[in-house]
Amino acid sequence: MVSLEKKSPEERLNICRKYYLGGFAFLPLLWLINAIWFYKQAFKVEPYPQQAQIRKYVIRSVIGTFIWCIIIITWNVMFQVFRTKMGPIGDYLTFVVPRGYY
Amino acid sequence: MRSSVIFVYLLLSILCVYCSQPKRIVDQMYISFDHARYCVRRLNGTHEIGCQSSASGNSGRMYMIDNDEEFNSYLMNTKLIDSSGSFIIVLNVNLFNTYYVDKLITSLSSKLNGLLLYLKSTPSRPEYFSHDDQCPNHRYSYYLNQTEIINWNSKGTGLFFRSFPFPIMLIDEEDDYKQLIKFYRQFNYSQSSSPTCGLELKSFQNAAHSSKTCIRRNDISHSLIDLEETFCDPVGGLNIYSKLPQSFIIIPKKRQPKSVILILTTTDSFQMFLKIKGTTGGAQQPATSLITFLALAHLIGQEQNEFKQQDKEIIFVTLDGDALDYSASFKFMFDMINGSFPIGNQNEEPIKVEHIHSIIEFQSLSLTDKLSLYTYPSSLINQTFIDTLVHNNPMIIPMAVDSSLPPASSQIFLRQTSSLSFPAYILTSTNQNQLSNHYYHSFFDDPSTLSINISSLEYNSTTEFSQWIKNIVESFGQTLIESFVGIKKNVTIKQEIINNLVYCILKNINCPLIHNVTNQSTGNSFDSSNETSLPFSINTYPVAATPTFPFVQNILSYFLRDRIYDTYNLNETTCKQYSNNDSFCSYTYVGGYAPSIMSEQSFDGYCVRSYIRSVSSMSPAFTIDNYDLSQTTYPAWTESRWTTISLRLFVIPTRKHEIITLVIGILLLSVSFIVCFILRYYTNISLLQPSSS
Repeated sequence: MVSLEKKSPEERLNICRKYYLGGFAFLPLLWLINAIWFYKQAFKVEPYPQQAQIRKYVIRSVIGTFIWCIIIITWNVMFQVFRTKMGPIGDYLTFVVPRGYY
Repeated sequence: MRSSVIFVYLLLSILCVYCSQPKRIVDQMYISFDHARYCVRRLNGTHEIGCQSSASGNSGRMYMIDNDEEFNSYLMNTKLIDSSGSFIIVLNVNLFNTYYVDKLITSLSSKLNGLLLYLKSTPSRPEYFSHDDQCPNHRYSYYLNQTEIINWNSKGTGLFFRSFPFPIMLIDEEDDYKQLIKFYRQFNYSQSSSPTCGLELKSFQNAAHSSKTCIRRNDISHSLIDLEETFCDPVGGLNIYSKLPQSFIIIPKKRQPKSVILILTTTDSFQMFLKIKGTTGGAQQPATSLITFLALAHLIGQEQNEFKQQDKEIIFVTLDGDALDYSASFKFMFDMINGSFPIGNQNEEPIKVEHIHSIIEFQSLSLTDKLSLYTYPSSLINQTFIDTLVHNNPMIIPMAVDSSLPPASSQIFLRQTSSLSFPAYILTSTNQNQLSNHYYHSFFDDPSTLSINISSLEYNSTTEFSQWIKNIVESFGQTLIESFVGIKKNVTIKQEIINNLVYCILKNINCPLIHNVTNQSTGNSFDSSNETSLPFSINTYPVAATPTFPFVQNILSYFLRDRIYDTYNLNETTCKQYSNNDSFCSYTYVGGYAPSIMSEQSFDGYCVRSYIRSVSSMSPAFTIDNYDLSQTTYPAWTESRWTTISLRLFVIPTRKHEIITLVIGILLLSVSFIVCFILRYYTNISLLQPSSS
């Protein structure tokens, strides 16, 4: 387990930035982990010079996670409701085709 | 440490000795009925019909309803209906019609979890039991410009074509019924607060919604993870046709218009309730027509020297798949219009619509005193042919000119040619616009309806039925010779041949007849269907190992063989050499069927030269590229796939019993935890650690 206390502040900033940039590759979980992991570092620990930057990354990760949540939930609901009404497209998008039911 | 190991070993061995009963606990909980009939799901282009259960089975409290009074008292008994969340209604088969079923569905709605029908005993079968529509095959108005709908099958309930959200099964064996009633009486004393019987019906069907959806899903495979799973199969079997192998129109010789006569029959039926290794019904329709058809083929083959003297060809055609929206007839006409009839040799001039002289069909024949002859259209029929036929067989009554046709394959032949090209003659058993068959498309349509005692039927028994067939076939043969050859000749067919056909088709396919007309390997393939009658049910593509098609192919081709070869004493190698030189006919070396052979000499084996063709009878909807299956141009029936079908009986305990069981279970769990804790705390034995002594 990586322990953030053992790392120097520059290394912490580096990790936070890597997670933040990685999340842009359609990886919202990286943003979620970033936000949870660095929450304490960004808001609860005594200030140190890199904390402002870390705080910025954490806030943006939270916003990104939230946007992704909206997108995923919307698509999930739309698919479940309209799967049968979409016609052939619904079937081609389904990964596990239901047996015995439409 | 060693003593503890020995102790554990002793304990385990004692347990094994005392607890090694052959039955698992789950077997002691359920009584299963393995000989139940079940209802499956079928689909057409836009709808689904049939029954569906959940994947783990539909279970519920069992309630038996035997007659109308019990039915009414059950529906008024709201206390009983509220006492349980789901019911499986066990209904007397006489009560299975739209009135009772609809009432049950509306009163119980989601509480109705399944229906189990029972037949008390074979003699108590209902007088009418048909679940086809009242006007069979009426969908998409295949009937020709008829203003009035005639209900040919007026006692039909139409339940086959409805979609039920619960499974329906049927018990037709007396032992099963006795067992069911024994448990029911034992347990169902009062209405609640006593253990009651429960039933679990499992008949999960893979397909859903419509043929279009199902066929589309068949082709979906995410090949990284899983294999393609087949949900449904298109309905279709084989259309078989054969004729006398006398002369072939080889290109560039032209075929004469109106020079081909088609004789039609069907080889399929359907039933609402199927059974693995069970009777399929179909004795009146299509077996009677099929026997008449084959006997007529034998008669024509017998008189082939007469038919050689004229230029018209008589082609015998069997259609498989017409019970559901005439799929096979559509395919046959599709092939004919597109020039692929007859299939096989490219040098043979195709038969097109203009070459057909007329079509004659045997449909829905039953053992009746009078037979009806329907003809259409009046502008094209040959009145002399009808008059000769009626003269030769007074049983046949010609129907009024341009009267509505009964459900018959000829309807599609006429429809696809707009009734402008050739006339159709349909021989059927109807009485005042009613089919004489009380069990039309039902498994009850068995030989007992033809006055045949099937248990005492022997290979060569002459029955009233086989004599009736002889009468019809001889008069027909005589009429054909008079009409097309032009001479009056009394033709006879040996009674023995018809007796043998009746035995083989209605009792035991693995009969001497089929072994005499096939070679060794084909004959052996019938051994697996010993003591079974010819199955008449819906066939799907890919064609399963049903014996129906090889049976019809071999017998039809043998009956229409070139009889000159009966006089040649050939061996198998010479026969094979002949087949190498002839690309139109097939040559098989068989043992020979004695009653059919006219020559005085008899040999060990005969080389049979015959003309036989088989074509897939799947609807053109499945073979045309980019055809939208929801269109109604061609029928698109498919049958769903299923895995296990089971019917089980169990006992639902009272509420008190269930609570006691739960409490004892929890107590046992806590006691075992306490015992383990004590053992661990107070002793030094640890079985998992290596010995340290």
